[in-house]
Amino acid sequence: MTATSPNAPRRRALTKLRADGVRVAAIDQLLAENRVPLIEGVACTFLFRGRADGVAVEHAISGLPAPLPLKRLRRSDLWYASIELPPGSRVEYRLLVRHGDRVDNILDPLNPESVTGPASTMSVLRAEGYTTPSWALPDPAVVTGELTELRFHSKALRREAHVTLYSPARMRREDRLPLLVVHDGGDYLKHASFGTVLDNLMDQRTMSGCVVAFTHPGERLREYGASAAHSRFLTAELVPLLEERLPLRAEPAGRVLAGASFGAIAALSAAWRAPGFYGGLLLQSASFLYTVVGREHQGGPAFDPVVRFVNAIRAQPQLTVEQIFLSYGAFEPSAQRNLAMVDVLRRMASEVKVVESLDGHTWTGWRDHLRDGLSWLFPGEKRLLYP
Amino acid sequence: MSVAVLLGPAGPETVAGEFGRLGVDGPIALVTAGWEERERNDAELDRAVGGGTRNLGLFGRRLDILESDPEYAEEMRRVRTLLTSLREVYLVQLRHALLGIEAVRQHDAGARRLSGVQLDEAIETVRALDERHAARLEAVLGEFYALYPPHERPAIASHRDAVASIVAQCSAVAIAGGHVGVLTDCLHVCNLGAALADVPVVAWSSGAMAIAERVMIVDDHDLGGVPDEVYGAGIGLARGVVPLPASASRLRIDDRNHLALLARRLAPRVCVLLDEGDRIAVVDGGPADFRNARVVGPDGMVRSAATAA
Repeated sequence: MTATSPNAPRRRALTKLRADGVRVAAIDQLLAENRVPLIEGVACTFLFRGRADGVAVEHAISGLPAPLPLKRLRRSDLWYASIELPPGSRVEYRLLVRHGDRVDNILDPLNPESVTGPASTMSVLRAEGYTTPSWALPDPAVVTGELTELRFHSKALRREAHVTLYSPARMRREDRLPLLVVHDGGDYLKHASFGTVLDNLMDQRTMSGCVVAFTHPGERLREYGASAAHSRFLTAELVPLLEERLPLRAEPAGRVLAGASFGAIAALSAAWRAPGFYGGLLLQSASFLYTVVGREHQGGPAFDPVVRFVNAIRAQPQLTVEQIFLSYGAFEPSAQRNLAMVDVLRRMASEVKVVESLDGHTWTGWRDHLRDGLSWLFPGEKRLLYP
Repeated sequence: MSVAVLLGPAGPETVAGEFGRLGVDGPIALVTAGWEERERNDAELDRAVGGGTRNLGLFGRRLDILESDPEYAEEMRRVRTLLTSLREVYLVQLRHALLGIEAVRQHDAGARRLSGVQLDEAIETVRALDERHAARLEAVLGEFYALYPPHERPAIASHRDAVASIVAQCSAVAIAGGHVGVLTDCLHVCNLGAALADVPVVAWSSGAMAIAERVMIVDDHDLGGVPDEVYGAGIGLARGVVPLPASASRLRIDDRNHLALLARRLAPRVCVLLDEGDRIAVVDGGPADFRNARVVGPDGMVRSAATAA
């Protein structure tokens, strides 16, 4: 008998299965004893069990084959594919199961964890060390802010504008609050728990109290694609209206725009068209698409105005705001373009903070870095609290 | 002769022990304004010091003043917005000035030489920034109080009178911690400093900060990365010292460069670390008993005051 050192690395589950003999009962036991995908240190193994002619993982992890094919374990109906992910990673995926010419796109039947976004429901892989931040979860002890709906006709957008207004639970009579305008407000509230995050961070005083205007897009790609009309809506209509009605600071330092993906482009372009009017930007996984030579790009017609805008700011960056916070997912295809734009952003703001998450182009990934951005743009009074 | 004892974070029993040591025999006035909405949750403290305390209710009084004097409240709102703007600019300047210090240090380290006069100059830049910011805050508030003399506002005057009257009926005053900004605001608007001239005071945690002349906020673990900052003025009952409560959790205590910078920014005032069990006594405004205190030297070393002396 060989003595095993307590410090010896544990044999991976599939290695052990192979060594012990691939039997139905052993596979049953492996699946019963482990969560799937298997997480063993940095090794993450996707599994599928069943008859099929081919199985693959559909994902958006830059640098991995897409889709990622699974192999069938000899003499079994168990399929597998292993990848290495750094601790703290989080990946959304689905499985492609082929039977002849038919390909079924399904949630991972062995993984109960999933997340529903605006477009689809995805299975979720949580690598070692990833945990949902406590400040993103509802706390029954925290008094929640109030959400109210505001509708008014926008001349700039030529449609009824719909805004969900968040008012903090704690408002001091003598305070004038900053204003945060969030693009894709409905999705941020629903899929990134933005309201819960605000409730918790303000309760903990990690961020200062602020009024948040969650805007809802009409024709999203047109309005958010660096549109002058959308910028006018924000700067000439929405912000002045709110500053007239609410106890807001009504000065550049008290105006921040936020958005993810196309919404980040909308926020940046609105600030760029009104330099000095806004104090800060919270940008997440911005859809920075640009060309270095010529104008041809792979983004499709919706990206034409975005490319023109990003090319313009790359050519002549101008000081636009005081602070820019940028986060992006290391695994998303646009990670390199976000990183490449940091130098341009540094010329558009006095201070720039960049955070890379081990996630993709996902609402959960954006949620997980809201605290970094909000506590930096709206520093709270936690530092003033002593035991 | 006025006596004040400054403590780190302290429980009710510790506070009660200090009043016993001071020989206080009579009702004690409580200031728990730093606890904000929980200001009246003082039963445990009341029991520990023998009962019969009188909570001055400064947080509630401040709210009442803002409620009953809308003109004052509106002007205070304007002033607070202005102070916020000043702080934002100060923090931008401060961050860059602190980077300047770090750049000089790194350059000197790369050149394998001891930092000298250039580092002193970089630190002096930060010191000057702190002093100018403190002066600006004082000027803005001074102008506000000149335009709206608090003693001439009936709501404020009546609360000040009430507070002074209660304190006069008490044998000592206890000032608890909590939100240091709210606490200092309450002390100022109710003019508690004037009422404390002849009465023993025990102040702990941010209560100790609020009765000093300068309030310095340090939190090296601040999520927003806000640097150590001059927050404003306390009521000046304890002069020559800058209390830094809860330093064990707030300060990078093993970073000598960081501590040395802090000490030099605040000099000639002495940085006093006030954790649980730490204590200094102040008589007639100046420190009298430093024996149990830990102070930060200009070299960044933390010493007990007895050793430092």
